[in-house]
Amino acid sequence: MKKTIITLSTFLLLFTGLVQAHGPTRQKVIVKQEIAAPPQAVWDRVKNFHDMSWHPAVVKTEGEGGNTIGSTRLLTLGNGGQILEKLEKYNDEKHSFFYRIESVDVKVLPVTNYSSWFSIKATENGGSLVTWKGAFYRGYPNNNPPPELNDQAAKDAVKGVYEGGLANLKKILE
Amino acid sequence: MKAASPISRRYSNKVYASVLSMQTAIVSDRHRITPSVAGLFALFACIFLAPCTVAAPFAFVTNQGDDTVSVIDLSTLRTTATVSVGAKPAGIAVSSDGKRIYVTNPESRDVYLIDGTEFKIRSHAPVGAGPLGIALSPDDSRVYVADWYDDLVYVLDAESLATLAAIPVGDSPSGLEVSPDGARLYVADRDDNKISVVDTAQRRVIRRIAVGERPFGIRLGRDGKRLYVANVASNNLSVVDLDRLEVIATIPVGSTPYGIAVTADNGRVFVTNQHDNTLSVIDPVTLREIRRLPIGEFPEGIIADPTDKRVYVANWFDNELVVLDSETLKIIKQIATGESPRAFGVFVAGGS
Repeated sequence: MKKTIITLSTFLLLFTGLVQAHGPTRQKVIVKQEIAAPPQAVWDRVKNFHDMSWHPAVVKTEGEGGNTIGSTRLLTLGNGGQILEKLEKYNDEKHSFFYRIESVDVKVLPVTNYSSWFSIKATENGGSLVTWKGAFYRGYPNNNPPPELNDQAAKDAVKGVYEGGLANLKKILE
Repeated sequence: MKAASPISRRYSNKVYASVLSMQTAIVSDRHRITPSVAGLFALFACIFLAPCTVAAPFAFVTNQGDDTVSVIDLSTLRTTATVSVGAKPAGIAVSSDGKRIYVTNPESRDVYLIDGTEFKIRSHAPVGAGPLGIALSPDDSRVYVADWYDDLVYVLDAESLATLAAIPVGDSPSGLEVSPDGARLYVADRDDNKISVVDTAQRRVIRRIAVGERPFGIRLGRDGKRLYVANVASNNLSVVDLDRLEVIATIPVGSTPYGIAVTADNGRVFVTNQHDNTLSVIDPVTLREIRRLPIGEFPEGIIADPTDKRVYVANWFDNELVVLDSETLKIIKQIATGESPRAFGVFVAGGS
């Protein structure tokens, strides 16, 4: 517990905050994935904000506070990179949640001011349609971004996270 | 009393301008098969009835994702043209007669001038490092452009687009508004949490007012005596008294407020809450939120029609312009736009 707090505060000191300077153009990414499992089954697998083990890139999820608004989670990725996220909205009935990235090194994920929605809807054949959407700015807040921190790099990275996660979720549940 | 006359002049100018543009539109439409019946009706109504109620003819929506501007006819509620502009258009300003439309393109670092009758590019000019917020002087002779990167507001000649001056302001200037008499320019300095008050004759900041966190969209109240400021990071609206130049109220709204509209008839304030997908409705008298209604995903630019009881909202994630009845708060129509509409500014002639 104490260790977690120390880790989190160190993390917060190292990286910039939630709302920061950003480029002029917000980007969006939407990835949809049909899964041949009932919405409740899909929701049961993802609904714990502090368990992101269904995503192949995430090796550890730390945090407290459960699925309550304001709860944070620290994700550790396979490459050692970390992302601190905060739960903003949560709807158990509608199978959806909304969260923001509180802090991340742009070397880990080349975005700033990132917010994301995750939702599950029933399909006609009894399966699920999972939608994962993000709104964010590129990693480099000023003009003339280096290629690894430009708009396209940001979009590609987020798309990769969503596609990788949803493909794995499908694999787990089908 | 001093402030009252320029305001009434401003509004009567708007109505007069609307009539003029309506006449022009009818004349230029002569060769088309479908003349604007609604326009003709409105013109007759304007001649014989008082007060004059001519609908604003077009909305101009910047589509940041596909480098275009959607031109939406507000009498038919259909898209009549799509104009290609510079890279990643965001800010928009429309002259009071609706004939000149100015667009900021932060990525190509220029301002485009669109002809409001033919919907073609008239000219463009490079402006700064990241032009974003934009506003016209009430006499439509000057264009003010906020430079997001260089922390300046440029003053452009509205006809030639020549840069006449650059006024240093605070960090990451975004929303701009000009007082009804043209003497003051208000600038939201997003990353300074302040509003800069610029004397437009001296072309310098004369006061800085602390507001909430990350102010972005701003709009003048109906009588020009108030400035409403949407604070993106503190989820509230600052109300600035423009005589005293101080914050008189801070009103909690939804998550990540972005744009503000003020209705012409009763000064009701509408705020788009990006992360809530809602619209906050605020009573200007009690300064309280009276309603919060779902509007669509990631609402951004918003404006109230100068005469009709309508509010238009650009939903960035949904790629649509929502037409809302500002009294019943019912959605009248959702009109498809281009990719990622921003509509940041006064995107309807005479709108507020």
